[in-house]
Amino acid sequence: MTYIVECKDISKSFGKTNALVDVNIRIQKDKIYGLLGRNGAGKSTLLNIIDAQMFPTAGEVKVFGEAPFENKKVLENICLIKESGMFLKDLKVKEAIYLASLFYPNWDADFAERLLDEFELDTNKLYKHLSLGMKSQLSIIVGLSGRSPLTIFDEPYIGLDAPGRQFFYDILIDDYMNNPRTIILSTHLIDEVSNMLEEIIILHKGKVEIEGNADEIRSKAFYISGDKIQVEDFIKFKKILHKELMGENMLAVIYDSLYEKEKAEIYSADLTISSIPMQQLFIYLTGGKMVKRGVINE
Amino acid sequence: MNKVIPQLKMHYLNNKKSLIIFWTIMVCISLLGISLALYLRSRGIESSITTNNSAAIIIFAAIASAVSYSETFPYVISIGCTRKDFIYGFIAYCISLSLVMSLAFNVLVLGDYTVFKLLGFNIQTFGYVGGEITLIRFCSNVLLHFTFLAAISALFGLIISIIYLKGMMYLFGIGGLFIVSMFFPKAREFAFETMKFIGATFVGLISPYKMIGLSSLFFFIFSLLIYPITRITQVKR
Repeated sequence: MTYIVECKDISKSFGKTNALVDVNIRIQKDKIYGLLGRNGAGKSTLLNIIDAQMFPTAGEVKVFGEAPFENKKVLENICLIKESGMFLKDLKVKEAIYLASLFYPNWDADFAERLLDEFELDTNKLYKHLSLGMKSQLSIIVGLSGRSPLTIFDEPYIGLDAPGRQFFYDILIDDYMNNPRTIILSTHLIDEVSNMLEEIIILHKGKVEIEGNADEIRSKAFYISGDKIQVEDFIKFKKILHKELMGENMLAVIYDSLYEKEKAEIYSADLTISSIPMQQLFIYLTGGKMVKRGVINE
Repeated sequence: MNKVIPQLKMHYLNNKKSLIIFWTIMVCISLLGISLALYLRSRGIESSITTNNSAAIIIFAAIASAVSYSETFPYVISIGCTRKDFIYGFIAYCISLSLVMSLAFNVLVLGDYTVFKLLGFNIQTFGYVGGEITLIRFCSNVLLHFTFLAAISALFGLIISIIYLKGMMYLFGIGGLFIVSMFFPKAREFAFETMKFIGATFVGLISPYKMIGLSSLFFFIFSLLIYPITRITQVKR
């Protein structure tokens, strides 16, 4: 299997804060990855280390099989688009596009023109005078038109409204089908992107909580509800993310493999089983608070 | 090295506006100086008038290089360049900026000089030049300003690279160490000799050839020092 990115025991500290702790991930070629995590989970730090913009405190990174630091061959094939924006603030939109075309070897000028038209971005406007949404649009145009073999979006679309984000997802999928490449989407808008992700990495407090195929992860996450004793009996050997009592009934959230035989047992025991949306799973895994039936549960 | 030309284009686009504003002000100062000289002459006063001087371009070059380093470093690194690419681009920018500033300044001075001469002023009135501008003098002035500006822009690039890496407090620390070192007679003597030399340089007591040589040497040293600092610099979050 070809891995585009391999991170081995990556740690990163800022003073006394550990942003990343022994992170081990491998990213395959030509797939769409979701890098999910709460604010401060270490997503941006990890992406900056992959692009050699930051140095790890410990560990080793390989991109396209080589260390990225001061490696021209590697770096010119990575496009990292950041939420904070990467453009020079005194440049016009058309100048920012022009400069990007000079630096990215696979730049697709026609595609950039098409996207500029579709987003209806005023090319004579200075970057510093653009709204947050327009800045996001410019970032997306550069990220997609760069056609880099490794394209990373570190939440640049966060400034877009819902229709704008949907437009971005549609274009991204369309472009990916025509020009397959490795794409990493770092986000916390999980429900919006979960259907397009092939692989998922969930970071929590600087550590990899879950890494794997999106469908496999979904297939392991369940709500089981019913009689308290029966539910407890069933889940005693399972990885439990959350339990909630409602009188004599219990709702349990499990993240574990469930065999057909076990499913049959659940149905015969009159328990209810249902799948968990990715965003809910993410909240349970990362210890977030949920408002459910008027009660806030840890 | 193939990333140098795109970076020069980037620096040009990023600095175009400030360059235009700066030179518009410089030309306005020249026109004001000429008007003032004519007014004073009409009142019977014909003293020495200095319209433009090199302090303005030195300050501009220092600020432009410092700002360019801090603004373009994160941009260039995030757009697929290595730190070495960035340094090559930055040094090329310092050289280009110094050459453009030096040429523009000396052309402006030549323009001033010509206008003053045509208006019948004495050469002595035009304080900055203080003598005939010949082709050789024009060229040596361009070279002198060019090397001096290149050294200044590389020096400020070096200072800002330290600030970007370590923060302002680090520079304050260096300043504190400098003050403490003044308690030692040898260090004090060296510091005063250096300051005397810099002062002499500014008032033109050092021969232009020596100045060109020293400026080139310092430009080279400062440029070499920027690389190891930039190599270990991370892009700020």
